[in-house]
Amino acid sequence: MSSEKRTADDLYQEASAAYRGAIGRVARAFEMDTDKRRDLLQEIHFALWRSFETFEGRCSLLTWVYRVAHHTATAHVIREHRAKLHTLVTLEDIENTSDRTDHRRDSEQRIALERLMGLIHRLRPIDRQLMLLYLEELDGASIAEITGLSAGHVRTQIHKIKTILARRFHKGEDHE
Amino acid sequence: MNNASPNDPRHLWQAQETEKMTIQPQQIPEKIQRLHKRGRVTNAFLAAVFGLIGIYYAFQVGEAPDLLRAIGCALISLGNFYWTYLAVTAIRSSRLPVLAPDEPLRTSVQFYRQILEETFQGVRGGNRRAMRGAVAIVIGVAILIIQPKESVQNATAEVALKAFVQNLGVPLWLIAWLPFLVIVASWAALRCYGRIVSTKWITHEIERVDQMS
Repeated sequence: MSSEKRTADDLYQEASAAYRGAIGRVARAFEMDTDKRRDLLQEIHFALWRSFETFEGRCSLLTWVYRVAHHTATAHVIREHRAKLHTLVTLEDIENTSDRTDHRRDSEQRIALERLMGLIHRLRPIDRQLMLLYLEELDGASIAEITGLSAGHVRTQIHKIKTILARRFHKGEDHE
Repeated sequence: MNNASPNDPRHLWQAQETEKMTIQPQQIPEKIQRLHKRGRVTNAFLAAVFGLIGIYYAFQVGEAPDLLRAIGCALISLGNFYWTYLAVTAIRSSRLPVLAPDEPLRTSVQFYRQILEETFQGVRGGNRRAMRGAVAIVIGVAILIIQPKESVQNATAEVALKAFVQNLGVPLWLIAWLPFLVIVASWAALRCYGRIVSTKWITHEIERVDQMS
């Protein structure tokens, strides 16, 4: 029992050290308010620690950590922002709307990051997850494993994400 | 996509500053307890507030000058006592917002679908238990509003408005109960609208998730 406990603790420490940055970015993508974000981050860490009781290596550590982080963050969004859920949009909606921002003014990275964050916060939970996993540079197979979407669907969605990001973030570079 | 570009969204995303949180495994049980306690304190506070309001209006029932006002006070008192009971129950069975250990065995789509279904059931049920208390309180408050303790002298505007409504042929009982009906109808309409918007969105999202997977 005690060796099992140690293993779970070791796994937690290994995972939290390896994916601390990624977990922090998930929290930022799902909660704008600083105090609530700190709570969400803490919740993700608690969930991760508890989850290793049942981790049997049936999937990679990366898949496990991302699932825990995304499940916790999705539950948080549904719980905390229930009244505003209908204002969240899909990747298709974003793809079909024009971005009226003046790209010339967005040369500074900070502003570009704020715009990216604004775009992410408008997405529905499942679309947001796809966007985040793409931004974390995970390959299609890993994204399909984490989300449970078919490989074909993941390919289509990634194509949409690339189009959206290219239109909104590379246009500015072209102008300059 | 050019990965070398400093404005590449993926580069921007991964290079951003994030909150650094390090929790030692030994600290976690204690921190979870603290989180649990916070939830309990909130519910205990709510129970105390509702209980006090319930007691206050229970005393007001005895001092009411007429039957209708006594009924209003009794309804507010009952509604608050019911909410006190709900808050006390929540103290006992407060569930931590932390995921169950085996949740990561599900994929994101399965988990999202399940949470949408749970939310749908919650919205559809209109949080029935909390609603029971709210109905009593809204009706009680509406009765107290239209039954002032002391007769208020009619202002010119009020007299004129009453005369205007009577000239339209509206029965007197309807004029007397109009504020009550307006309060209850507005409240019910707002609740129904919120419920329709939420259920429609959730149903649509469940269908979309099914198509995705």
